[in-house]
Amino acid sequence: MADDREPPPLFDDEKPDKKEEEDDLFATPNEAPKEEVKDEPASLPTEPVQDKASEDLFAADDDLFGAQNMQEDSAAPPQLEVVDEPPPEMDISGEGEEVDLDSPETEGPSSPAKMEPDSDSSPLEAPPMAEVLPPAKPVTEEKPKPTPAPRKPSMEKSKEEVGYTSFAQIEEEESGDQFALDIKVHDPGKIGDGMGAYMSYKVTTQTSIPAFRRPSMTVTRRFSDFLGLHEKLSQKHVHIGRIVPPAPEKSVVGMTKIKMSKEDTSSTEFVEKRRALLERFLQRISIHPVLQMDPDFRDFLEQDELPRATSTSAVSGAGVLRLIKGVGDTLSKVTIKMDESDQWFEEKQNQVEALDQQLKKLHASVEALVTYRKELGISTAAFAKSTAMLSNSEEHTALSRALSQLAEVEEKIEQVHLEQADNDFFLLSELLKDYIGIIQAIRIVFHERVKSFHNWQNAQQTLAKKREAEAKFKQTGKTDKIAHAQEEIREWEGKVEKGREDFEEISKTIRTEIRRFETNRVKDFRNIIIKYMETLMNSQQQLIKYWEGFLPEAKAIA
Amino acid sequence: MRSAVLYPSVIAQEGEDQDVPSRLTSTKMDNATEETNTNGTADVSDSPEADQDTPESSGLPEPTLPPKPFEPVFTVKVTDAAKDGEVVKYTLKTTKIKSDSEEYKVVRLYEDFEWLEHCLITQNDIAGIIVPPLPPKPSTTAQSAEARSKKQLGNDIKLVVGDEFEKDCRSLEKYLYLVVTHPILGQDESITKFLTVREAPTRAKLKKSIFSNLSKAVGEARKGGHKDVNEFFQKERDTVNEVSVQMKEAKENFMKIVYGEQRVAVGLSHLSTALHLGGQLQEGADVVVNKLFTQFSEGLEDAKQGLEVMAVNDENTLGFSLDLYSRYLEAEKEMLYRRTCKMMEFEAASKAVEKAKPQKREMVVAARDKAEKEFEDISKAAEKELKNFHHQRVLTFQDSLVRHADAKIKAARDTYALLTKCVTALKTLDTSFKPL
Repeated sequence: MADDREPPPLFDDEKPDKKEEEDDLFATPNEAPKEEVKDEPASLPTEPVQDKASEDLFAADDDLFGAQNMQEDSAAPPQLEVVDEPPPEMDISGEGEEVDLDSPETEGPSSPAKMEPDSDSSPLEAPPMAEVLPPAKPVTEEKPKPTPAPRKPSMEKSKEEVGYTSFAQIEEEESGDQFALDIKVHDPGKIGDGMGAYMSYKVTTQTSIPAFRRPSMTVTRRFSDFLGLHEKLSQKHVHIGRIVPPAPEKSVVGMTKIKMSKEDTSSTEFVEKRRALLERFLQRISIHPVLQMDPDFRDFLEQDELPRATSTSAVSGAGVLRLIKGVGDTLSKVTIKMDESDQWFEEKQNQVEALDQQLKKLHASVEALVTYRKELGISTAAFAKSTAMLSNSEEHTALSRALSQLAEVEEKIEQVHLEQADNDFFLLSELLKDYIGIIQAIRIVFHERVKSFHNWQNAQQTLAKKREAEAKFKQTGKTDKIAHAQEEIREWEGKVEKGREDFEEISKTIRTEIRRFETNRVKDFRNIIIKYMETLMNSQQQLIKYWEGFLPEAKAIA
Repeated sequence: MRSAVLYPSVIAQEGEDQDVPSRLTSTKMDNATEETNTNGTADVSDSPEADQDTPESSGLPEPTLPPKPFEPVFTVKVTDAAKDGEVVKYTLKTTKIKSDSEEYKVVRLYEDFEWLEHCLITQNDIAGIIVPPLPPKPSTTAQSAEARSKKQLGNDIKLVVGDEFEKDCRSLEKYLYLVVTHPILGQDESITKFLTVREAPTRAKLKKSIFSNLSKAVGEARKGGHKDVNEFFQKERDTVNEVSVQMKEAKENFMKIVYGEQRVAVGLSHLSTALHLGGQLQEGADVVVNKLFTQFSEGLEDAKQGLEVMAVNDENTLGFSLDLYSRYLEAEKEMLYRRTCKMMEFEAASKAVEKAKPQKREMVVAARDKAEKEFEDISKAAEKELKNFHHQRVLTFQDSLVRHADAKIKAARDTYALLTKCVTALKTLDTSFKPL
């Protein structure tokens, strides 16, 4: 990897072509022949038209909806970020469109058809990390007005909307039912003090599903409630092959900090991270055609008071049982093997494992990236301070002013870096983690199938034994036992039949679930990747804005 | 004790942009700074002194005839650095300003630059001169490269940073420029020899004794605090002490930004690579996801390149100036220190006169007069130097800041354009697939 570091393209060196784009973006950077200091900037490959005003670059991308908007936005000064105001609405109405059957865009599984709403919302959403965050208030009765809560990483909120959008789309196609469930988790608050303290979250739901009592509702829940919900759903659905979204992780460190009232950035981040996680958890349930109709899920969303889910605590009786069961499961995973007759399952399992590997690697890379970016932010802040000091000592007024401006610019850029790091994290890193968790849920479901097969096999073996016994009774003439034996045979024939049915059922369910998973995966990744790229674009835009603001000051020095 | 009355002109002068008191100075300065402007800073407007060229005929008393204004003779480029074993050879291309056809090309080692510096220092009266600082010797060993890589990229990134030849060339080139355009040093014959004669100057080992540096530092600490007779110089000394520290710190922090940018670029690169370790199936969702990942990976490469370009530009623009002036301010400090020493000698000599016994008086007075003259001379030279120095400093920084901002804007725009293309590609990617 030593050649990762290219030689700076100054001294007549050809910058090695990284990719042959159709537009020949890689022009050789020009050198300045005359100055004594060869600091002609190394240039990024751009189109050969670069002598013209930069607007041309944007104009060239006329067809790109997003670029259009960007260009207009960059022409207008800070108001750029205010463009964010519409997006949440756009988003919601976009969701609304897709969710309502009457909207034409919702037809068809192919992505190009769906592109319109996406591209409508995406570019405008794209600069969402601005200082001007649309404040989020808890939902009103009308659907298309909720604004996100004032929190720094608003990206992940939009991500959720987008993610939700995609889920809604899929379910739409599959179930063909009218369907709307919009869930938000917001307003985290600390209740109590000391070791007994906990965080509570508001859960607001808007729905048109008639099974719910009201079209919109807000309840207060604590973390253990979420775990309780997961527990209940798992008990009901996992053993028949449904992939239940994984439970949110417990975090002793994070919660201890909260309990101890440590008000630092890491605990705010922790709370935000958790809030977002809980929201995604609920949203994933809500887009599952079966799970969304589960009464426990409904209760969770609408009941004012839930029975305390004490069984979720690790040290409760249920917790211990879970532990034992978990161990048992692990052992059985090792001991029960299955002769896979169905090629599909074998391939799928391999595929899932490979995916797991890949996601873990990606996750590690993203975490590293987040760290580097945060460090860059810190360095930028340190330099801003140095520059401010130089400005103070500087006797030349104009230079002093320029240095002071430079310090301000660098401070703003620090924010850009930190926000981008947040995006790196909340978009990419959390998505990857989610999927790694889902894969774990998939593994569980596969294992359930193996257990089901095992049951079936056991039943068959028992049946065979019973038949043998009956035959032996017949042989040895123990007629009194024959009747009983025949009863048992019938019983076990029933069980075998049930076992086979169950096995087929779970296999069928898993196929459907996996198919859903794949579709979701494609949608999720596509949307997140696009969203993320747009945050990268937005960062560049902000850089342009700040440096263009600084340039006149620099020129005015002498 | 004769003191403050000596330099009415100097006292009046506080900032570079104010009226130049002596026509002599302004004329001489103009040429020097004008040359500075044309050779170095293309975009920057001429120095204010140039505007004052004409009207300053208000008859200030001039003790001597105006000397011939200095014009630099050469333009030098350091075009190449080649490693020959452990030794780096620099190629210098020189042209005479007056006649473009005279071109010279020589090869020099770092030691040759040291020789040049040595000549300049020893063969000229550098008392009141701020001597342009020779860049430190670049390290060429494998260990130093590794150490540098660790420092820049951190311990977790296993990459080796390449030799910084190009940066070294520019630093040396800038050094030569400063020397060649210096009104006094630029006249030294050694320069001609250094630039035009094919054979390298005799490479005698110049022992820079550790002790001389140490004793100098100690001396500076002791005498550096000695109060000045002159308000202007006192202020100048105070300022430079403060600013030189701040400049160094600013440079260090700035380089941290550059390294930080490089690290993020590496991070993006790693992520981009990891995206290529795709799924195995040739059908189904994996195919689509792989296509997405590939496109994403390209987008990340674009972002990475943008950052790398920014890092390079940063280092070449603002980074370069911060580094230069970190060292140049030290040179200013040294010059002021030399003057302070002369001042103290003068003060001591004056005291001696007061205490002198009649028979020794003549000698002591002569000594004092000599000390006074030396002090006057150095102060005069220093004043000129400082004016020129600060003016050049302001212009250099202006130039750097403008280029810095320009480069940033361009890189950001270019990156943005590339990212836009990527997003378009992503959006138009066909994500339909046949579920298996």
